[in-house]
Amino acid sequence: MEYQNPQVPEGINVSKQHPLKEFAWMLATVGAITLAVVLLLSLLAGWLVKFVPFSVEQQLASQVIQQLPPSASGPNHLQVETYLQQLADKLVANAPLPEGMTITVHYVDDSTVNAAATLGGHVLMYRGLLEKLPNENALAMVMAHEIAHVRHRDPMMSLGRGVVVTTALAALSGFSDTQLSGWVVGFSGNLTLLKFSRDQEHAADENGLLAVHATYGHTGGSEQLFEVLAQAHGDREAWATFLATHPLGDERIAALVEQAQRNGWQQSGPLTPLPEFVRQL
Amino acid sequence: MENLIGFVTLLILGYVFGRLAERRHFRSIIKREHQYAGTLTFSAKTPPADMAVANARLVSGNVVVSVDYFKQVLAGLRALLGGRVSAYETLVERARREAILRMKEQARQLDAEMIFNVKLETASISKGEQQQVGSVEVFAYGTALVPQKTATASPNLGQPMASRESA
Repeated sequence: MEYQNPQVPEGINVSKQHPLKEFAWMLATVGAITLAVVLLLSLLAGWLVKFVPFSVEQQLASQVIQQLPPSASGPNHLQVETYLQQLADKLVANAPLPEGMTITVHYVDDSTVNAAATLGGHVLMYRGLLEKLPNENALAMVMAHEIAHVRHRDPMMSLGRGVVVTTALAALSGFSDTQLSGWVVGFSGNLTLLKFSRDQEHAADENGLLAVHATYGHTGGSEQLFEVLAQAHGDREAWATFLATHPLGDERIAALVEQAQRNGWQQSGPLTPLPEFVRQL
Repeated sequence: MENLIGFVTLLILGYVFGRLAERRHFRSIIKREHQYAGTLTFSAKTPPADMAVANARLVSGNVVVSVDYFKQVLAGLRALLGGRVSAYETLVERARREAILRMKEQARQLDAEMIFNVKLETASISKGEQQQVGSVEVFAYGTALVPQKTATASPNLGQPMASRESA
């Protein structure tokens, strides 16, 4: 009996497909599936939020509020907070909120140039932004924008979406062994969430301008808010909009002007100055 | 954004260096396989009855090959979609052939002609650990048979087996 080892042809154990081609194909497939799943779940979560009563949101908020920076100890802190609360009440009186919805304004002694709305109708106003605003009309626009977020239940929707999407993404990426494909999945998921966020911002702008017009009889000063924000955050390149949570300043001003024209609102008028104690911050 | 840049950089590094290393390794494997083609390997347990065996020794070859970042991502995506994990096919093939080559090398040093009862053991290192580079270990072992030498003890070490067979 002849013993031999015949030569095995090269490459029979390995796929012929080019690894880069395989990579591109799989990346596109996983990305597309993730986007579809996240989009669907986000829509579902957003729809379900409508059925959660505002009182539940307020209960959830009590935990969030505890995590806020403590009330500042500055001499006019209370004065500023009272002023902000009165302004909010005035805006709400002119553009009423649904039954049971309340707005609580918190003045945060921090240099961040921002304002935020969170669960349960709590609105945060940062010192950094207050210092930069030229007049009360611009301040009213921020306030009305944040109140509109509360009206639209955006904080609750973000929370709902966040929970649902995070869980879904964790499940999706958990199937694979590497942290990296999980990262790819997470990246496509984030893009979807940002898109929603931009739509929410547009809606809040629109509703905010409505409240400002109802309060002051004209929309003057609102655009100055976006100029302040654009200056503070730097003008971003257009390509970055897709990755940004907030639309660009110019784009937002244009949308507001268009809205005012459509409704035949007066776009300029007497501007209300900020009180002395706010200007001296 | 920094995350993305880091990810893409690692991906490119993994692809370029992983591919270079793989090509170089395959070239080396093919060359040495020709060189050691005379040392025959079989999975059968028993040698031919008519073979005059002077000595039987355990020979083994062990190798650990690591996976590059690109392959890891590729396999991770594959785990979501299913199908042939081609990224790991070449990895395991290299490890298998290298382990057998190292075993043959040892057999050649013993002056053996054939290795019987060849077996391969495969182990994955750092299996299931997150954020760790996975590597595969292949251990090849078998019984090397050294034939009885003829009266004229010729120093034929290092010569191709094939020529000795015909002698």
